[in-house]
Amino acid sequence: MSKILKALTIFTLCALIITPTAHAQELPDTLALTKHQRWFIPDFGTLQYAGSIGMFSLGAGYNIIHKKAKLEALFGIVPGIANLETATLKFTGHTVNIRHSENLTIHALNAGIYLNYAFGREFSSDLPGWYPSGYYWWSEAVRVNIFIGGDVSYTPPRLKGIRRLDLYYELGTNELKLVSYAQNTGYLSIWQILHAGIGVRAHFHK
Amino acid sequence: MRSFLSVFALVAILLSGCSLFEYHPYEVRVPNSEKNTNAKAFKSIQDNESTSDTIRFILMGDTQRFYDDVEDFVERANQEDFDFVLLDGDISDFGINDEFAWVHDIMKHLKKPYMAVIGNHDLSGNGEKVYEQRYGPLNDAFITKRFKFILLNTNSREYKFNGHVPDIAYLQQQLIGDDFDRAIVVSHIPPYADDFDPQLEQAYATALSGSGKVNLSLHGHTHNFANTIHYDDGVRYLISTSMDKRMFLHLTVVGDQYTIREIYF
Repeated sequence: MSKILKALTIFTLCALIITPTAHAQELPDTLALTKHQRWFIPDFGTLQYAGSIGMFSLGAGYNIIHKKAKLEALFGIVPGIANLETATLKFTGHTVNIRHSENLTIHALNAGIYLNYAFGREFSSDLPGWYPSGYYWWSEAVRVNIFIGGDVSYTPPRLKGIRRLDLYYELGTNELKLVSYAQNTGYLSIWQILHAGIGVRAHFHK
Repeated sequence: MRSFLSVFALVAILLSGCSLFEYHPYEVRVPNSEKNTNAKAFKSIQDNESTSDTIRFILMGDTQRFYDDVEDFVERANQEDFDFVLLDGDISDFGINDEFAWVHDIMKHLKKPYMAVIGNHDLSGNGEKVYEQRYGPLNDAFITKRFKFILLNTNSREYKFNGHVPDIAYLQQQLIGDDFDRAIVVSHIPPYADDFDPQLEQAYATALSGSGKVNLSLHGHTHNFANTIHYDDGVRYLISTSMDKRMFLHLTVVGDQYTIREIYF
């Protein structure tokens, strides 16, 4: 139970961080930077649950390639015994887009890749010096994930500072589970190596 | 916005029970029913002791990333007569939570209990925490039929050869006592391997031979079968193969007598 409370506290903190960020974008026109000067302000903020990068992850990113793709960075935490903090760089491409109306677009098939880095000296990126070279072939800290997913993007009525909301899901795996599956197709089913995540992206007015 | 986030939190809580929603490969998520496998095995063995003074058990290990082979092992092992199975380390390959779950999911189909010692691969990532949840302390022991089995963490390199792994003081302590007559020591890395702390190798061998109670030291790690009296002191060092070599060892012990069978599957 205390675990859930802790998670809820962290979640609320995340919510408090993301909300003022959204409001900060509503600068009066006179004070606002010109459009080409504000390119560095993220297009959207992200809040994700699970997806193998944290229990909750908070991030921000940009629409790229004429809004056909997204690039985002996230910071994730896993509270409890595991006690993990991670950073993620994620690329999401939209392949099948169904524009239902001005206010609603469905991205029926997204596909992408993300790199996850686990912070902490106990998770080495390179093999430490006291191991013979090639002792372990993978990095403890870095995971390479691929995924497919989808999202619903809509314009919410009466949400201050928020132009658009995406609700998304992802289904992915990483290189270590993939190699495990490739060698054990008898015991392992594809569902055993998959992991899922859901999230929301809030697009700001710029 | 607030109500929207509350709904998101609620959905997250509802999904938290579903294993598909993984937080991280290094998450530590062990169902209560699968905790303390070693302690449960010790109790089950003691509760089901036969009146005969013979102990039969299977030595196997290095199950890492060989799930299909482990399934075949379980099927073959169940045709044998044994009291328990010793998994001699490298349960997992990458120390990730799912791997431990998969191996247990297969091994739970053994007709008798199994226990596991920790291997060097199990110490990758958060594997030590997962091992502690699933199996228990890294050094442990139990007695059946006045025979003590000592489970030892010998993965010295994973602790940067800090001089405390294996814990020789623990080993010596466990070998003293009048509640048992004989003892068998089980660990992942054999003392003569490069990954065993060279400064503790002699201390390990001496602890065993000097106790006068041990003539079997059981290991995995090298992936190849070996059966040697390594230090000319009467203590036999047995290494089981990795599961992909599709072999396990069946041991029958009575007092200081033992027979070893190599079983291929």
